Amino acid sequence: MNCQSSEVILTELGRARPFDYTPDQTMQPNLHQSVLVHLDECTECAVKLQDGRALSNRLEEMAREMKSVTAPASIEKQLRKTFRQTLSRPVPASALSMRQRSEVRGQRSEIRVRWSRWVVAAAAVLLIVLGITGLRLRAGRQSQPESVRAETGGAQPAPKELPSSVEAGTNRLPSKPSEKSTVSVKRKNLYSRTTHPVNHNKKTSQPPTTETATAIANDTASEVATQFMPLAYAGPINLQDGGQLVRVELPRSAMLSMGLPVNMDRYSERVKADVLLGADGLARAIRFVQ
Amino acid sequence: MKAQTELSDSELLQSMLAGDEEALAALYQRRQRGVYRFAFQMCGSKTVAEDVTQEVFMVLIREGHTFDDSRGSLNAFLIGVARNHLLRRLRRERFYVSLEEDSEGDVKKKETSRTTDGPLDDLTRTERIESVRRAVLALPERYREAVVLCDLEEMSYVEAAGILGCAIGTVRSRLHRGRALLIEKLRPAYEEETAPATTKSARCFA
Repeated sequence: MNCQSSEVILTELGRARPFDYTPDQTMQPNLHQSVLVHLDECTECAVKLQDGRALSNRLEEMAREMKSVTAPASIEKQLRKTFRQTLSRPVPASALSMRQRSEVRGQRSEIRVRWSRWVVAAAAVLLIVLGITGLRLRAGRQSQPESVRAETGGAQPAPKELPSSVEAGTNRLPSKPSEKSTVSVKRKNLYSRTTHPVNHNKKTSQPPTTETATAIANDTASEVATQFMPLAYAGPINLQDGGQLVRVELPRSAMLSMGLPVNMDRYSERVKADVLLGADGLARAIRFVQ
Repeated sequence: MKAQTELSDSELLQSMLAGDEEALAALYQRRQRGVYRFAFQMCGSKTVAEDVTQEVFMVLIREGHTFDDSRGSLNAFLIGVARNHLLRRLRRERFYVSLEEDSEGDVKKKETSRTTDGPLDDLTRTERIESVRRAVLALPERYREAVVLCDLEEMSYVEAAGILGCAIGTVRSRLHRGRALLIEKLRPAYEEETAPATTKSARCFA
């Protein structure tokens, strides 16, 4: 036995209480004896033991002093009050059998379940109401187009303009008179700055008879477009030579450069536009679509 | 039919949860001292100790059904709850400096705890206890817990390990370390006491 190995056992000896042989079996009785032998040889460890005993005496003195300390009576009053509020069922313990106790618990859990059902139902109703309100608000916003609708007054019907394939990207304009009906209509008011939705069906020379006609009808029912506006740098356009109509998305600020009013609250949003490209590939005119 | 005092902690708890207010009172009278003492010795503040004691029994009222007597005694459960509240609170309030408490209750306590040794001995003993109390409070939390539970509350290592949620060997090593720190802190006081009394004479040359 040396000083290092006896250190922890000295603490036990210094505590001046029955040796605490713990279940982990690290403190064997024979260790106790060997430490006592070591103490006769080592004065340093003997001093440590003395210090430990002195500390134990002081701690015991403090513990004795604290024995009489109790919590104030006001705490008990407060606890009783809380108890009455939470578990306000003064039933003598002796009067309750185990079965009755389990019944009481069952009743309480039943009340909890009932309450939780009501809470879930109320939450569901609230969600539905909020959802409906949100949908209505959204629909209201969609039904109020910004600048374009404001100018046109919003009363006119949506125009029928382009085949549905135009929306997907570029569309080669038809060169035959019967097929270029939509373009020829647009050309009429090409340089007009006033914008209004145009019902192209009324102005086309031949009503569309193919599936394209249905697509056009569906498309135009949901779209509002300005007139085509010429781009400043481009020369006069001759659509007889052919051309392309390209659907693009532009920042709403681009409408300003064309002299259109812009709702500043939605300045950063994007807006759809159709760009008319000439046969040489240069952009000739533009219109904004919603 | 057993009296309240004869019932075990678990039986009292069951009665309390069934709505018996007197069972709560009996349980409180039986266990409040241990909880209050532990809290007071850990933080050194009566106000905090009172708050913690109240909170512990509030938890027992609200969540007493979570107690499982196969996992330990009710006393250990209550001290464990007190420890958690206390540590949370001490961590929350570690930036504040507490004012010295010397209320009317302290004075009364000092008066009642007087022995028959005379006022000077009483004063010396009070100072000695106070110095030990300060030294315990100055210990790091983990060592302080071990010292309070094992040496001041006289719990076994097994009980302390259950409350602290650690191994028995850990409790023993923390206690060893805590006691070593205490000896170091209190050494000047030991030496002062054990040193021979020297009379200092002074002459007045006025």
